Amino acid sequence: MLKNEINQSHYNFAFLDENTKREVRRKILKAISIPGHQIPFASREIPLAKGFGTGGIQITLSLLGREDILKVIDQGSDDSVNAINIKRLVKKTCNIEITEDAKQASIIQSRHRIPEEKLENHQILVLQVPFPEPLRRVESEEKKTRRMHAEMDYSRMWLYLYEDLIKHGEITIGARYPVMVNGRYLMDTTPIPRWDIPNLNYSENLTLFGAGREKRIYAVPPYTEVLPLEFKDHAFRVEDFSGKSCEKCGASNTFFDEIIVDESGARRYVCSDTGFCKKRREYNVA
Amino acid sequence: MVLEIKDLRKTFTMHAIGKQLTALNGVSFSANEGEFIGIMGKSGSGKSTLLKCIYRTCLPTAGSIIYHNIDLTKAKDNEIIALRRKEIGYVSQFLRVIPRVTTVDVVAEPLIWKGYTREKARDEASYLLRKLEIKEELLNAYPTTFSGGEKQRVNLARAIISRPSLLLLDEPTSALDAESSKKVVEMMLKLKQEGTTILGTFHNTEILKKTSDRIFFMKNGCIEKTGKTHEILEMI
Amino acid sequence: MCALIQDSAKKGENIMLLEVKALTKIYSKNDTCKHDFEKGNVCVKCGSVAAVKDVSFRLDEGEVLSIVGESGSGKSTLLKILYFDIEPTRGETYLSSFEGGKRNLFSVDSKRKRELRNFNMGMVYQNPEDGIKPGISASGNVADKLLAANWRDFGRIKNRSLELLSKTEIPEQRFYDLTKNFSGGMKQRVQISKAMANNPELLLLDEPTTGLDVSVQARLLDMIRSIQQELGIATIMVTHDFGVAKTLADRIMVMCGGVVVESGLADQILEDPQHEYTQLLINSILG
Repeated sequence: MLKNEINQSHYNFAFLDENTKREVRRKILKAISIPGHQIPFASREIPLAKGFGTGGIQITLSLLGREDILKVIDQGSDDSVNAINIKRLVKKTCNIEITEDAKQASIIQSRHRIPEEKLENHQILVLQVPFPEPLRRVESEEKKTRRMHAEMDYSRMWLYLYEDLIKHGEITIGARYPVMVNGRYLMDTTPIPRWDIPNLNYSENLTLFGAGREKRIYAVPPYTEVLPLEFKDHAFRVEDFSGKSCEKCGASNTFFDEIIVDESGARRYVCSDTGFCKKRREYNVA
Repeated sequence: MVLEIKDLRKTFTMHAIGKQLTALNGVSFSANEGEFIGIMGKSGSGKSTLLKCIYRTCLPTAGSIIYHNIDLTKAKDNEIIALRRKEIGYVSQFLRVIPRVTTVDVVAEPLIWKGYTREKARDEASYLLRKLEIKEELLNAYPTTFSGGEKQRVNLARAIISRPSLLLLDEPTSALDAESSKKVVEMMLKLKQEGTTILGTFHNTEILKKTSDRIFFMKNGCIEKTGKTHEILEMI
Repeated sequence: MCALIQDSAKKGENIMLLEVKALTKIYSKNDTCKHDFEKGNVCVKCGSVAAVKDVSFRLDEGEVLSIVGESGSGKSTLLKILYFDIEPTRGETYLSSFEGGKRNLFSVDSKRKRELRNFNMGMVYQNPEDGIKPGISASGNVADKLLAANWRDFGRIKNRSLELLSKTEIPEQRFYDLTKNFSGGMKQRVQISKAMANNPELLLLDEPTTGLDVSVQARLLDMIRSIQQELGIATIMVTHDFGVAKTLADRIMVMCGGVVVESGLADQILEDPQHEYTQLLINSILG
């Protein structure tokens, strides 16, 4: 173990021991070779409560090398408490470069959003996932959902969407919208909103999903088909922000956070992706 | 030759009481296209069983039934089903009707098997039923509550509507009055003209005279006497 | 065969749809035992039960076959085997539309079996809870079958489901009600709609009217008959009641102790039963 310049703590580089990293990386490779399929892995204890992204963190920590540049966002923001804490852990145990610029980062760990800027082939996006099983909504037994995946029997999910359409005239699923990956596996897109789903389709970057509590890793490799479940005559729709623009930078085609200003109920919209918003302001893009 | 029966025998075995009953004791004859054969005899003489064996409602114990070069006794179930639907018609002496199906639909069914549309089949059925003097308001009623004579005419209509090549009639006029009998006889003669071979059991000698070319007189499961209609009727 | 068969109506064409060969299901108490079923369907050596023993038959397109037997005859087990709910111990089944009728259906993987169920078959269980989901609406239950057969146009699915529910006389105002609140007869009608949804080649009915009121039974059977005739679907109906069999069947197969005791044309079985057991059953018919 090397101390001082690289590692000020008594832990291994990037906190996890090498055996754990190897286990996680092996499972990542397996996940990449079966796009969308959930791979069980031996999830370790992390100095963070379960439910705060322990799966995503284990993936990130297993991948970090000295040359890597890391960006961490939570709810799209680099400044949230969770993001700051994760960055502090990383800084302490391996002192690699941290950035807020999505274009600069080699690894981006995120809870809830995909960055607005298109990621490139050398970049890896790591998403923190609380519930990896897309069928849990319609079937509570693990044994049965595993069989459904094995036999590619997703009719229960289709039935859910059908009943939803009948009842409400539209599909009311907000987050966790089910998608078909590579035409084979149904995948849960927690935690990203509908807005970000089209970005998964044939993305240039690798996207990894980690669920620490549930002990699952899954992956969408670059240039993989990812299509949301939709009826032929009821196309998948993203959130509708027409007519709205960001208060800070003026953008009108990003995903917004809605802020209720005062007692009157007036709303303001700001870009959810703070890094992107900041960049726009700096370069004064109209 | 349409039909050739060779030494047909039928014995019923009733296992529960360990008894056997011989209904047909070696029947042989042949029938040609357009021939109308009347069958006479007391009840228990085997007339109904003969017709049922040809239609396969009863399984012959021995002998052969050759219909257009097919031995019906050796034919498979599905072949018989095909023949019944397209070629061979049968009217039972028991006036049973299919429940909860309207008169028109009961009679239209055989045409639907032949490929007619439901509408066309119903039209033809209605036409035939009217000819047999079934009242208009009964056409869309359920025949289960009809009189014996009405039921008989409905069953007859169903059997003849698809112009079968062989028609087996068991007491087809037993419940009919003179007027309706006349209509039924007209219809049967018309079919005969068109080439249908008809085997019918009758008690009424008048009708036998009008319809049959030949008569079989049956007794104890055999054809005791056979010959031209007038010959047999003179003997009796 | 001389020139009998003309074109048109499917029934009577004698085109084989389904062929079942030597189907056997043994509930084994001792796997090492070489079972001896000489004296019936209980093994004399170990007490294993052969619920179905060497059953073979064929079903033609458009034909209705009724399998009649008392409880324990194996008739329901036979049907469940054909629907892949139960795995047979031995035996083969061939469907003419599947790989030219040359591939034993039991030899394919579970995914293919599910596809066969979804695309080629319709099943109506005796207990409607086995066939429909109580927490889903009537329309949803029919849609379920269509979705499983890869229908992906919402409008078409909805219209088709409503069309079928109308056909089985489910009142319009109940189309979107959850089926758990339906009466027994109504649940069966939803099952029938579901079974027919994807125009299957083969319809399987397992005592579909047992336990229902008499008038409901009659109505249901009439409905099945009319749909069967209209669409010409080959049908196998299991029942313990000859009266029920009589309303639909072209042929009847009588089962007892796991074996086929007699089979023949429906009217022949009813009027001239040959086998002792068949005669017993026919003589036991009330009224």
